[in-house]
Amino acid sequence: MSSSTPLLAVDELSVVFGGHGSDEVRAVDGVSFTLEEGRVTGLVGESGCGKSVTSLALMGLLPDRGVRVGGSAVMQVPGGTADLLKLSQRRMRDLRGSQMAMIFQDPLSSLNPVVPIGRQVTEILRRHRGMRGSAAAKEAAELLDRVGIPDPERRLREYPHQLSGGMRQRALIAMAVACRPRVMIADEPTTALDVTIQAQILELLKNLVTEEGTALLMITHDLGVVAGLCDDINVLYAGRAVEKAPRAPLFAQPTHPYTVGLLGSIPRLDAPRGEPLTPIRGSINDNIAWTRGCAFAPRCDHYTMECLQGPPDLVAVGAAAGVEGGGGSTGAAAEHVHRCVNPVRGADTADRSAPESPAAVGEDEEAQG
Amino acid sequence: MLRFIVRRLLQLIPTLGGLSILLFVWLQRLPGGPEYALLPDDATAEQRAELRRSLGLDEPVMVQYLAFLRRIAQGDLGTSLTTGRAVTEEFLTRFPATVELSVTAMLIAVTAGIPLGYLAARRRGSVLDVAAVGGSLLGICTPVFFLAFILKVVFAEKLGILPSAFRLSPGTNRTDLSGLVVLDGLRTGEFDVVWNALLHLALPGVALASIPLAVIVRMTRASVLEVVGEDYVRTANAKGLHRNTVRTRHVMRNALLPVVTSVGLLTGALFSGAVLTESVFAFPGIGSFIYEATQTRDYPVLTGFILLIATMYVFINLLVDISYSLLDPRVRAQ
Repeated sequence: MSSSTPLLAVDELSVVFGGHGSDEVRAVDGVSFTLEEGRVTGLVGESGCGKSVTSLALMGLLPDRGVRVGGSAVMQVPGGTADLLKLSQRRMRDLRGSQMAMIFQDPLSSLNPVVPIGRQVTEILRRHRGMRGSAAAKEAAELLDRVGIPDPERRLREYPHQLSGGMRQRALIAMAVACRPRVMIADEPTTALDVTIQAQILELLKNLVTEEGTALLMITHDLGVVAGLCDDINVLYAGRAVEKAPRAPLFAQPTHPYTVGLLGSIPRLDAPRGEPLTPIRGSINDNIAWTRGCAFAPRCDHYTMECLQGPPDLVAVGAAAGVEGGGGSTGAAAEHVHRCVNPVRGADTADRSAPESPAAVGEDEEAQG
Repeated sequence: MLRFIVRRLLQLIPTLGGLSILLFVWLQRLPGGPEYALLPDDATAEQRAELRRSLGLDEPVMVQYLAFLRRIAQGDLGTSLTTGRAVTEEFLTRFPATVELSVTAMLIAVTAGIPLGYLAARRRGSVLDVAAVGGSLLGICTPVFFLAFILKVVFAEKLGILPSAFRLSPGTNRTDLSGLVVLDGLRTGEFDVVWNALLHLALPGVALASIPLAVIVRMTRASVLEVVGEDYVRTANAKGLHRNTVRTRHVMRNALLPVVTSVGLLTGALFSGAVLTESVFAFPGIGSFIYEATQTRDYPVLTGFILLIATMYVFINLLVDISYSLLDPRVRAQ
């Protein structure tokens, strides 16, 4: 993983909205991760955890005013490296679409309703590859064909409202891959689509990553998507990463109570009929500030007074003081980190494929502690 | 598309029918009548009654209205009581002047209003924005005749830099092709006439433009503010398109859709504004003639002109709707 220099290294990214003392909102608070060629990195968390803001900050698409962005995001660009957070607007416009591309959540609203699909594809070819006229039209048709849109010549002349939801997202993906960007960010690309189409779109993204060696940053709240697609996963809560791990250890031995809660809240097909879902209690509005302690503490079934004594650090699993690391967590320790002083013990969660409700896990934990 | 046009034209029948009934009732309710305006002050009551009888005004309203409908069916809008010429003829000689004035006003409103609205939206909260919003509020609130009067006093009478009345300076010779002075001048190459006509159009044009300008600034501003927050504008930026491409193709193309509709609706305000503006500047269009006809209770002129204006209004809005469907593919599909 760390053998080569990463394509994009995000270090201590922070995004603050507002900015007058107590009014300010720290949407992203020191998030670090790397993107590597041909790998899919996931940013996971519920609405409001800062995952979309992270992606917009990297793309330079946050509003000009009222936002402070900190940290660095060093990307390998032709002729060296560049810190995306410090580049001029003009430079960013050159990079966007050509070196880095983004796929958005709602394909209908993300397409211009009064411009034909063809134009929306060719404009990016014209901008970054200097293609015009019939050459651009031909390339656009090939791109649509490549992302699996049947009868591309006809579709080029059509408007977004004439396409199905899945086709619209494919068209957006065609625009994103038009200039073979090295980094692609997908912000909940399947949320607005029905399940069969979701699978097709994920398959398409997976193939693009494999064939082109693109680095994909996948932003989602859908752990099914994460399990199927992501190689490395960052679980975000209230603007900070609370757990990071490659896919296998994260699903096998989640240690942060939030991750455990997310996994536990997935509805199960084999659950007895009528069994209530097991949500994480409260909402993201119940946070406390990270400066006071663990932001998740008010919603956590595991919290102790220790959780409220200053911000917990991101530490390797098993390394935290006072935690008897489970046998399974030692091997992946270097890559598996969490931000928790009172994690769920590996032994309790070994069988993640059939989780108890998080509440039950919590009671168990309390009984032992 | 053809069915759409035919359906819209068929809507004219109930519209004009209802409007003509309203007009008849209103005019009946108006105090006074042509017998006072047309006859000298010392005319006897008998003479006045005789005139009313000869004009058919002593008949019940229903009878008058049916007679009116019969004439309309033959394409006859009646004869002006004051000039003795056919109403349609009076309309056609005056209409070009009003068209010229309205087009001037709308051009001013559109060419100034859209950029102003755009800039106000993009620099939200700036001095320009506050001035544009405040100014447009003032523009909507100021009565047109008041603004016209102020403009006339300041620019024509005090400063003396612009003419205050008529379409051309007295004694100007021109070749008349269509009654549209500016257009005719351009076609025949009489550029001095064009310039002269434009000077005469300046003050009434600005006065008449005030309300449409104010509305267009506000509509554009609100519309741009909405569109810049749309996902597809973010997509366009994410594609790294040039700022100008984003601005024209993605922001303005969409932001102007509601503005186009408002332009159609504003022609109504334009016609009613023309009545007052033309009176202030003695501009020989339909507006000033309607004003005079109201004074003299020239019933045939009033009903005829107002029905013709209503027809124009429906046609203009039909054109706007057609152009809208060309601009917005989502409407075309339906």
